Amino acid sequence: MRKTLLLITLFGTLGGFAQNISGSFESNSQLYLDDPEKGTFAPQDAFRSNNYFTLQYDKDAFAIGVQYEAYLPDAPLLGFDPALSGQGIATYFAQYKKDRYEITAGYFYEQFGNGLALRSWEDRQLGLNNAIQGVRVQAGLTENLTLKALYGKVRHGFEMSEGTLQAADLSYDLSPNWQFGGSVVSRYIAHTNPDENFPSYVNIYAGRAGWFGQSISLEATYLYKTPDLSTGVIGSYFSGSALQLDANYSTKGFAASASFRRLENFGFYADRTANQNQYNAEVINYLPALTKQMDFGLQNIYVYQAQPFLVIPEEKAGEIGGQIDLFYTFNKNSSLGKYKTKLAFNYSYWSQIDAEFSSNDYVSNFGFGTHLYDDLNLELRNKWSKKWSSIINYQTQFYNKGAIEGGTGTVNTQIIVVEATRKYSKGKSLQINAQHLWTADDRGNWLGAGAEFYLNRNWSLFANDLYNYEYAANEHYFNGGMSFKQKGTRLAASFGRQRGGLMCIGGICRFVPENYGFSLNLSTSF
Amino acid sequence: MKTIKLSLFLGFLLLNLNLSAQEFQELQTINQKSVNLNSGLYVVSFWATWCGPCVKELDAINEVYEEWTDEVELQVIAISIDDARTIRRVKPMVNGKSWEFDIVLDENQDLKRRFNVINPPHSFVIKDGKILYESTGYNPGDEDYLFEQVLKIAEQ
Repeated sequence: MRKTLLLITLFGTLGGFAQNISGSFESNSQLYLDDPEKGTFAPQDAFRSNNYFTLQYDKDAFAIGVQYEAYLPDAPLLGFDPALSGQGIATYFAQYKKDRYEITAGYFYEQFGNGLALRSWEDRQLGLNNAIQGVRVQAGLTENLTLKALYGKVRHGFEMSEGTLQAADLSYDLSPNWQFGGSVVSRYIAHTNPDENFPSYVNIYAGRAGWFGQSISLEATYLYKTPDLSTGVIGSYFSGSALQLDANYSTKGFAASASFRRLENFGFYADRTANQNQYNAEVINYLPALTKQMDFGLQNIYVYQAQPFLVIPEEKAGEIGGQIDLFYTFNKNSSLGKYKTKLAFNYSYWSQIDAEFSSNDYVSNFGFGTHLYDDLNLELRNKWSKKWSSIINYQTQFYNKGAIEGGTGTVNTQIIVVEATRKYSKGKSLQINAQHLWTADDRGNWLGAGAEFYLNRNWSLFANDLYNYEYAANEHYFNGGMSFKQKGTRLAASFGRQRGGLMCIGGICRFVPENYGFSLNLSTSF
Repeated sequence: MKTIKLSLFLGFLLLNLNLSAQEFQELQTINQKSVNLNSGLYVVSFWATWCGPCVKELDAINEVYEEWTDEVELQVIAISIDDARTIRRVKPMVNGKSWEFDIVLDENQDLKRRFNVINPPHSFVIKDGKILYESTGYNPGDEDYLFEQVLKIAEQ
C-alpha cells in the first residue's frame, strides 16, 4: 500500500514534469539479401538496424537530455563506422541558460564561425556524431560581445578520443553592419616520441570579418594551423592554412552569391590515427565540398568531395576553387512570369593547389594546380496551371576521378532531368521524372526514371530505376516502396538494389557498398 | 518490479506528451526581427535549400500566403537548417524566389534538436507557445490541410 502511494506520488510529480518532456525516436533497418543477378552476397548478419531515442526535459532555465543508440543485432548498417556497434547511452547533457549566459556539461554540439576551425554536429545518415564531452560556457559579456569557451574530448562510437580539445571563440558586432570574430582551437595528445619537436599541441587560429548591408554582404575568414605530422613523412611537421571569401547580393526576385576557398593541409582530427579516415570519425573541423547539392539520382554519381589533405607521396597539398549561384524569378506580368518561372544557376570550379614536391617536403603557391572538378547547372521551375508544375535541369560536369578517388581517368558528363507533377483533388498527385546522363568515359551512359504517387496526404507509393545500359545488360538499380506519414511520424518501406559509391549529405560523403534487400525507416517525434 | 515501474513511467509520459508546454526562446530572423513564439499564432517550418520537398512546400505556401494572412492573423517562420556548406545560399534563394515569410537560420541545428526534428520538412502550428499540430514530409497539396489545421486552432 505504502509502495502504491509512493508510486502515485512519484508519477504525480513526474506527470507534472512530463509537461516539459519531449523527444524523438528513429529507426533505420535493412535486411540484406544475396543478389544472384550481380553475384553479390549479403553480410553475415543480414539484418541490421540503427536506432536512436532521445528524451529532453525543460524547466525554466534548465534542460537535461539523453540520447540512447542501438546498432542491432551487433553492427551498424553497411558502410557505417564499425565503431558504432552494440548499444548504450551515447550522449547526455545538462544545461543552464539565463539571460546572456549559458553553461552545458556532458555532451554538446558547437560551431565557431563557418566551422573551418571547429564544428561538432550529428548526421545520422552519415553515421557522424562528433559531439564533444566536457564543459561549454557561453557568455554575452556585453550586448555586442559574446565569448564561448569549451573543454572536452570528441565522441567516437561509444568511446572518446585520445585528444583533448580546449577552444574559445569571441564574436563582436561593431554595428548592425560590421561583425568580427576570432577563435583558437587547441588539440592536445600526449606522446612518447623521442623527437623534441614532436608536437603534442596542434592549434588552429582563426579570424573573421563580415559586412552585412541591406542587399549586399561580404565575408572573409582566414585560419592558420600549427605544424602537425603528415602521412608518409617522418621527422618533419607541416602547418596548414585556410582562406574563405563570400559575397552576396540580393533583392526581391534576383540574387547572386559567390564563394572562394583555399584549403592547404587543413584536415584536423581528435586522434592522430584518425587522419583522413573514410568514416569522418573524430573530425574537429567542417570542410564541406562547396558545390551544388543535387536532388536527382544520376546527378549524384560523380560527386565532388573537398580535398583538404597534404599527402606528399601523392603530390597533393589541398584544394582551391569556388562557386557562383544566381537565382531569378520572372516578373508576374512578363510572359514567362505568368507560368511562375523560377531560374537557378550554379557554377563551381575546383583544383588542387599549385605546389612543387620533393620526397619529404613541398613548396606551395597560391594558384591553381591540377584541375579536379567543375560543374555548370541550370534549373527551371514552372507552375503551368493549378494542376501542372515542372522542373527542368541541365548539368555539365568534369570529374577528375583519378585525382579524387585514386587510380586514373577523368569523366565528362552531360545530364538532363525533367520532372512533372500533376495535382488531382484531395491531396492526390502524381510526380514523374526522367533522367539521362551522357558520357563517353568510365561506365558510359545512364538512363533513369522514377514515379511517386501520392494517394492522399498520408500515403504515397514510389518506384524508380537507374540503368547503366552502356555498361552491362543487367546494370539496373531499381527501388520501390511506400511511405506513410501522419503528424510527426513517418514510416517508409522499400525494396531494391542500391548503387555502391559515395553517399553525400551536406558535402560530406561516406562510401556505401552496393547492396540489395529490404529497408524500413521509422521516425517519430513528440 | 523495475520493468513495471519503467513501463508505468513511460505510459505516463505518453499520456502527458500532448500537453507539452515549453517556453520558447526568442528567434532572430535574417532581417533582424525578433519573433516570440510564446504569444500569437505561428506556422514554423524546418527546411533546407538542398531539400527538394521543403522548397516545394515553401513555394506552395508562398503562393497562398497572402490569402492565409488575409483570413487569419498568422506568421509563417521558415527555419533553415542549412549548415556552412549551403547557408550562404539561403538569403539569395529566399529573395530570388520572392518568399514573403520570415526566415530564421539554425546553422548548427540547435533549434532542430530543440524541436525534435529528425528530417526536414517538418512543420509545427504553434499558438501562444504551445505546439498544437505538427507534420513531417511534404505531399503536394499538404499546405491546404495545414491551413485547415491553422483555422481550427485559431478558433479554439
